[in-house]
Amino acid sequence: MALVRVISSDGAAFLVSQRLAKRSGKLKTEIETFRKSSDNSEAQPEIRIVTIRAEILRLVLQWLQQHQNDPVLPANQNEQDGRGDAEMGQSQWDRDFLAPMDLGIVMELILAANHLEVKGLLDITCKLVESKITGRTVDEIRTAFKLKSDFKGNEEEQTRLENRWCVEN
Amino acid sequence: MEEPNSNPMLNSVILGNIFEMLPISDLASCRQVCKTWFEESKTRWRRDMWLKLGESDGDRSNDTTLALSKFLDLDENAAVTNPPNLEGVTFKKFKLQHWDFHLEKDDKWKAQFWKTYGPVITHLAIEQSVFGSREDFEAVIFQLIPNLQSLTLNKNKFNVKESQIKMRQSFSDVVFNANKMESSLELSGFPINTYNEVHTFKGLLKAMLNLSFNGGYKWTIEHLDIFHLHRNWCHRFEPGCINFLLKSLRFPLTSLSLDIGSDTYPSDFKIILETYANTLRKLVVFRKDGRSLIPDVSHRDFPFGVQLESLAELRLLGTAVTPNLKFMRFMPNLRSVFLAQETGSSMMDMEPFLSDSHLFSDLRKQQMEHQWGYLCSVFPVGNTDFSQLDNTLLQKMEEFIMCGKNDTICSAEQVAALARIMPNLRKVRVGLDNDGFRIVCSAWRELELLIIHPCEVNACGITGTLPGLQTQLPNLNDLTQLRYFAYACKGYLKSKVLAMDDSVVGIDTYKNLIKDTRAPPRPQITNEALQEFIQNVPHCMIKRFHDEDEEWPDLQEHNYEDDSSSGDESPTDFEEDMANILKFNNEIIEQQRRGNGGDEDDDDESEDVEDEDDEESEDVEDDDEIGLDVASDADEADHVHVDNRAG
Repeated sequence: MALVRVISSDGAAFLVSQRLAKRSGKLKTEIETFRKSSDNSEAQPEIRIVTIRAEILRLVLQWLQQHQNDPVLPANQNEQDGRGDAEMGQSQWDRDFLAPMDLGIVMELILAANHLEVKGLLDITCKLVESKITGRTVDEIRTAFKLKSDFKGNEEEQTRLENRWCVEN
Repeated sequence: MEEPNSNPMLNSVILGNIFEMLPISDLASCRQVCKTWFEESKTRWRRDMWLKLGESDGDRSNDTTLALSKFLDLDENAAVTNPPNLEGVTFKKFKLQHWDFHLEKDDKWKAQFWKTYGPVITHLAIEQSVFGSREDFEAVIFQLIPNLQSLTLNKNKFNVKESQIKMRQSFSDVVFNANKMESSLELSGFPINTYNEVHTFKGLLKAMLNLSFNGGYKWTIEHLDIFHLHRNWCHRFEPGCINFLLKSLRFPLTSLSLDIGSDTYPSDFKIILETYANTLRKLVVFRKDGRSLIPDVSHRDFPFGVQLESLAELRLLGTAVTPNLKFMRFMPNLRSVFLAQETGSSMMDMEPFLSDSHLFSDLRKQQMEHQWGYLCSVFPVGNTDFSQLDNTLLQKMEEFIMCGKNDTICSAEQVAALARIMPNLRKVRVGLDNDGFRIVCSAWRELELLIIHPCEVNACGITGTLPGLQTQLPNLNDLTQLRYFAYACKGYLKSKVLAMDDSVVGIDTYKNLIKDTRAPPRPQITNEALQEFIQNVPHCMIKRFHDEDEEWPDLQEHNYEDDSSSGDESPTDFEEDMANILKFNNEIIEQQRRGNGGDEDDDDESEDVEDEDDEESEDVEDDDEIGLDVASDADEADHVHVDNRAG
C-alpha cells in the first residue's frame, strides 16, 4: 500500500497511507506535486509541515483516521446547509475527541485544519469556539477569551451604530 | 506559526474561520469586542449584510437607517478617487429606503454614491421610494448599476404621467448590461397599474422581451421570486399575458417562487410549468384558499401531466394546490417536499433543521400582516389512491414535511405506502398512531428528524412493547440516526397525547438527540425518571459546553511561547509529546490486534513496535522506525506509523 511520511515541525514523522493523507486537501496537493517531480513512481513521498507540531499533527491524523470513510465535504458549502449539517453530523466520537482539549489546543487545531485543508475538522473545532461566543454579551466574550477593548473615544459607539444600520436580509 | 505570546483569539486565520460560521447576531456582538475583531469581521459582514441607506437625515430616516451623506463621510472607500478601487471589503448589498429618484435634480451626494458604489453593487433593494419618471427608473436599474445580480422592489411610488410608454423607442438607447443580471430577480409590492409600464412586473417582462427581440439580448435569469408580487395575495395569475411573456422569454430558470392565485385556471399554471419543465430544480407555489384547482378532463391534477424531470425541491404552500400525492409520479428526482397548509408555531422549533429554514417564518409573517385566518385544508395522504403510485419510486427523497390544520393520523397502510414510494427518507413530519409508528421505525431506519403530529403514539409504541407479547416490536431504538424528535408540539391540543411512563426513559436513541421537543410529561412519569431523562438527553453540543464553562482552562495558563516555536521546546515537553504519541500508537496497536489478525508484513512491523515500546521511557529519541497497523473496516487497511527522529 502506498504510504507517505508526514513530518511535524518538531521532527516527528508519521507514516500514513496515502489514501488517508489525501483526505487533507493540502497533503493531497503535496503528494501529487511529489509524484510529478519524482522519477521513481515507487518512491515514498515525504512532506514536512513546518507549522504544525507533533501533538497537533497526531490529533489531525487521528481525526482523519476516524473519519476516513465519511463523504468528503465540499469546500464551498452553502452556509445555511453547512451549519445544519455540521450540527447534525457531529458524532459522539467527535465530542469525546474534543472534550479533553483546552482552548489553546483547539486553536492550534483550527490553524492546522485550516492549513491542511481538512474541512470537517475545521468545522467542529470552529463550532466549539463558536459555542463559547453564541448568546454571549460583548463583555462575556471579552472575559471568555481574555481580550480587552481597545476602542478609543466614540469608536465603540460607532460600531454599535453600524450594526444597527445593517440587516441580514 | 503566529507570533509567540499573542492571544490566538487575535489570529486572523482563526477569527476568519470562526466568523464565517457564527450566526449574524453573534457576529454583531463580536464586532464590538475589540478593534482586531471589528476589522476581521468586515469581510463577512460587508459581504453578507445589507446596508440600509436613507437619503437624508430628515424626519423619515431614523436610527436604523444611515443617511447617505453620513455614509459617504464615514466610509473609507468613498474617499477613493476615480477610478474607485473597491476590491477589498465594501458593502455590495444596499437597501435604499425613502429615496427620491429624480435624477435630473443636481445632488452631489447621490452623484458620488452612484459613481463610487454603482459598479460594485450586486444586490439592490429599493423600498418606499419615489421614482420621478420612467427614465429615472430605467437609469437606476439599467445604467447606474452595471453589475446588478439581484433586484428587489418593494412599495415604491412611480410618478409616471404617460399612461402608455413606447417601449421600443425608449429602450433603444439604454445601455443595458443584460448578462449581468443573472442570479436572481425578486420583486414584490408592485403597483398594479396600466399595461406597458416598465415598473410593473408585466411591464418589465415586456421590456425584456422587447430587448431580446429587437436588441438580441439573451436573458440569463435563473432564479425568479415573484412570491410577493401582489400587495396581498394573488387572485388570478394574469392569464395569457404573463404566461405568454414568461414563455416567450424562456429564462433558464432553475428556481421559481410564485403565488399562483386563488382563481387561476389550471391551463395557465400548466403553461408556466411546461415552459420551465426542463430546467426547474426548485418550485415554490403558494395558493390562498379559493376553490381547488379544478381538474378537468384535459388538465388533470397538478402538475397537469407535465413531466418535471429535474425538480428536486417542491414546496406547496397554502391550500388546494393539490388534493393528493399523485403529483409524485411526474417528478422522479424529488429530494425534498413540503406540503404546508398552515404556518403555526409548531413548526418553529424544527425550522432550523429543514432545508428551507426561512420559508415558514416568511409565510407566517405574511399571514399575520394580512390577518388570514387558518387556511382551510385537505389531507393529501388520505386523498391519495396509492394504487396509482404503484410504479413510483423516489430514491432520492430525503425530506417529506406535511403540516396542515386538519392533519389526521396516517393509517399503517398509508405509512407503508409512503415508505415504499420514498424508501430513503431522512426527515419526516407525519401524523401517527402506534401502528404507523412501528412501520416508520422499521421502514425508515436512517431517519434524522421525526415529528409526529398529530400524535397518538403512547409508551407502548415508543418502546415497542405490547402487554402479553414477549418479542419486542420495532421501536424508537431502531432509529439510531435520529437527532431531532418531536411530538404533540405545544399549543396543539388536538393530539390525544400521550401517556408516557417511566419505561420510555431508558430508550437509547434519546442519548443521541440534539433536540427534543415534547409535550409536558403526563403524571405517569415520576420525578426521578424525568430527571434521569433530562440527564440522558444531552441536547446539542453548544449547550453542553456552556454548562461546562468552568472547566475551560485559563488562557493564561497555556504557554503559547513554548508551543509556537518547535526549536525552543524544552526536552521535557518534547519527551512528553513523544510519550503521548507512543501511547496513542500503542492504543491503536491494541485495537488492531483485537480487531485484525493481520498479514505477515504487519506482524513484522508490530514486532518493531514492541521493541520500541519497552525502551520508550528511557530512549524516546531512538532512530528505529516504529510501525503499526490500524484496524480498519475498509478493505485496504490504513497505516499510521511513527518514526521518531528528532534530536
